[in-house]
Amino acid sequence: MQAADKHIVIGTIGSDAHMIGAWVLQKGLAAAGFGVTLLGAAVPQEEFVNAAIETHADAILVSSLYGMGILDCEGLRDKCVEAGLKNILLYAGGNVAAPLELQSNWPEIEKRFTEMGFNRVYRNTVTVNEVVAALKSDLGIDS
Amino acid sequence: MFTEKVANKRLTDEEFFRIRREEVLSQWETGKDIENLQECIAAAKELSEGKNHALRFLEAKRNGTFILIPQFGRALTEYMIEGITYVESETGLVPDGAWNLYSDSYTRKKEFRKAAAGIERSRKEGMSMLNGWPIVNFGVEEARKITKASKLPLHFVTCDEDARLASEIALAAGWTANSVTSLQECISHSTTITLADEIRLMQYDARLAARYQEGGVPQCPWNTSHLTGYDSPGYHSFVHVSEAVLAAEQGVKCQFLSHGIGMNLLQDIAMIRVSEKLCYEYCARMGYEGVEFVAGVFPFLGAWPPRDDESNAMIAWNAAIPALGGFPGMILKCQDEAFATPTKEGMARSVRLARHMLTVMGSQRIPESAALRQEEAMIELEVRTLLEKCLEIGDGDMAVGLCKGVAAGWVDTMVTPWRHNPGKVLLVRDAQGAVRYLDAGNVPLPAEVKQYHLAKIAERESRDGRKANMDMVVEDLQFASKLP
Repeated sequence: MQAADKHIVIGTIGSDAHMIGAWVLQKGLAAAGFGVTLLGAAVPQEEFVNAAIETHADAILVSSLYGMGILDCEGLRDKCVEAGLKNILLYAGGNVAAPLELQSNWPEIEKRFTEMGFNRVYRNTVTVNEVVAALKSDLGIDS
Repeated sequence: MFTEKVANKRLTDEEFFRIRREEVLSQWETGKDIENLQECIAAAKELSEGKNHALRFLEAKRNGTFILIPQFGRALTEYMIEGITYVESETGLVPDGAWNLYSDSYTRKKEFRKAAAGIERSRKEGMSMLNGWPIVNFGVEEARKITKASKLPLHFVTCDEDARLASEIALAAGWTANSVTSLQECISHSTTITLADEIRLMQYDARLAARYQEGGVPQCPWNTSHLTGYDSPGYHSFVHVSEAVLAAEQGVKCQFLSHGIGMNLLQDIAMIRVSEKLCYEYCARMGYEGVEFVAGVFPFLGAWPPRDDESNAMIAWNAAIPALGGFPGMILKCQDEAFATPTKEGMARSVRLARHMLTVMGSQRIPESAALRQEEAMIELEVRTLLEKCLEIGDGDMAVGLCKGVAAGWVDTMVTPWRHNPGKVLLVRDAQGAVRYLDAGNVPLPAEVKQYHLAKIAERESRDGRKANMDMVVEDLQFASKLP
C-alpha cells in the first residue's frame, strides 16, 4: 500500500479561524505523497464528514487552536458512523482545551479524546513528520 | 446579507435606528435590556468616570508615558472579576493600565446557543470551557459588574464579522472602546463574508461609538491590524489608514492603532510611524477634522514558543519595541499563549515583566538613522500607492476602492482563512528578520520598493547559501516558535 492510495481531509474545526496548523500539515502530507483536501478554517463537523465521503477519505485530521476543541469535536465520531464511515481515522491536534489546568493534564485530554472516538490527539508542538509516521502506521503503508 | 452598494457614507439616524431595531437588538434576548440608547449612554457616562479609555490614552500620548494592556477572557462573570481584580491588585497595574477583554469564539460568530451550552458546561466542570466571556449571553447588567470591579479603562474585543450586539452591550456597560475595523476582521477571523458586508457592519459599530462620544462619553475604539501574524508592514499600515477613514466618516474622534508586529525593531517602528502619519494626513485630506490617533503594539500574532523561558523572551522583546518607538499602547501576551487562554497568574507575570522593561529602559528611544528613514520611506511609498489606487478606482470613496482592490487582486496578503483574499503574495524574512515580499502577486509595489525587498532577500540568500523559496516561506512561519 502506498501513500498515494490514501486520502486525508484536513481542516480547522468549529468557529476557529486559525489556519496555520492545517496549512502546514497540508503541505507536508502532500509532500509525503498523500492525497489531501484542505477545508480551511471554521469548518463545521458536517463539512468534514461530507468531504470525507466525497473524497473516499481514509482519515480526518482536525485542527483546533482556540481552546474549544473538546466542545467542537464531541459527536464527530457519531456523525462519521451515521454516514457509513465507521472506521475512518480521526486525529485531533492543537490547543484543544481553553483552561491551562486541563490542557496541561495531557493524560486527561487523551482519555477524553479516546472516549470521543478519536484515534490520536496531539499537542500543538507536533511535527509533520510525526503525523506522517502515525498515518503510515495506522493505514498500513510501507515506509 | 445586504443588497445596497457599500459607500463610505455616514449612517443617518433613521438608518442607524432601523438597523438597531431590526438587525441588532433582536439577535438575542439580552438586546431588549438596552433598547433605550439615551439611558445606556447616561449609565455609561457614570460607570466610566475616572477610567475612560480615550482620555487616559490621549493623556499618555501627551506625557510620553505608556499604558500596559493585559488581556483576559473566561466563561463566567465570577472568573472575569476574580482575574481582573487579581491582576490589578497584585501588579500595581492601576492607574497606568487598561484591559483588553475578549468574548469566546462562539459569541464572535453569533452562535449564542453554543455559548449558552459552554456556560453550562463550564459550571458543570468547574472551569472555563469557553475561550472568552460570552458578553451577549450575559447581557448588560453582568457586564456592568465587570466595569465596577475594575479601576481601569475596558476595551471589548469586538472581533469577527458581526459584533454589533456585543458592541452595544459593552458600551452600555461603560466600557469605552469597541473596534472599528474592516479588512482586519476579514483577514483574521472570517471565511466567506464579503468585504462590502463587513464594512457595513463596521460602519454601525463606528457610528455607535460616535454616538456615545457625542453623548458625552469619550470613546477610543481600536482600529487594528492584527491580521494573520504573517503580513507585510505596508499591508498593516494600509489597513489602518483605510479603517481610520471609514471610522472617521461615522464621526469617531479618537482611534487606538493596535499594530500586530513582525518583531523586527526598525521595520515595526517604521511601520507604526507611517500608519500614524498617514492616518492623520488622509483623515485631514478627506475633511475629517480633529480626529486623534494613539499608536500601540499588539504582540506577534504568529506561533509562540511552547516553553516559559522562550515566551518570556518574546514578551520582553514585544514590550521593548513600543518602548523604543515611544508608542503609548503596549498590549501583553503571556507565557500561557502557546498552550491555552491566558491565566490570571500568567497575565500578572507579564504585567510585571513589561513594567520592569519600562523601568530599566527608562527614556531610551531609538535613535534616528539612515536605515530607519529608508525603511519608513519604503513602507510609506507602498502604502501611499495602495491608498491612492483605492481612492482613484473608488472615485474618491475608500470603501468602494477597497472592495474593488480585493476583487481585482491587488489588495492581498497570505495565509488567511478568508476565501476572498487573492492569496498570491508570499513573504519571507530577510537577513535581519524583517518581512519582505518574495512574491508581491498583483500588489502594485513601486519598482523601487520591489527592488528593495528583493535586494534584502538576496542578503539572506547569500548568508544562508540557498535560494528563497516556498520551503523558506513555510519555515519562517515557525521562526519564533521552534525550540532549539
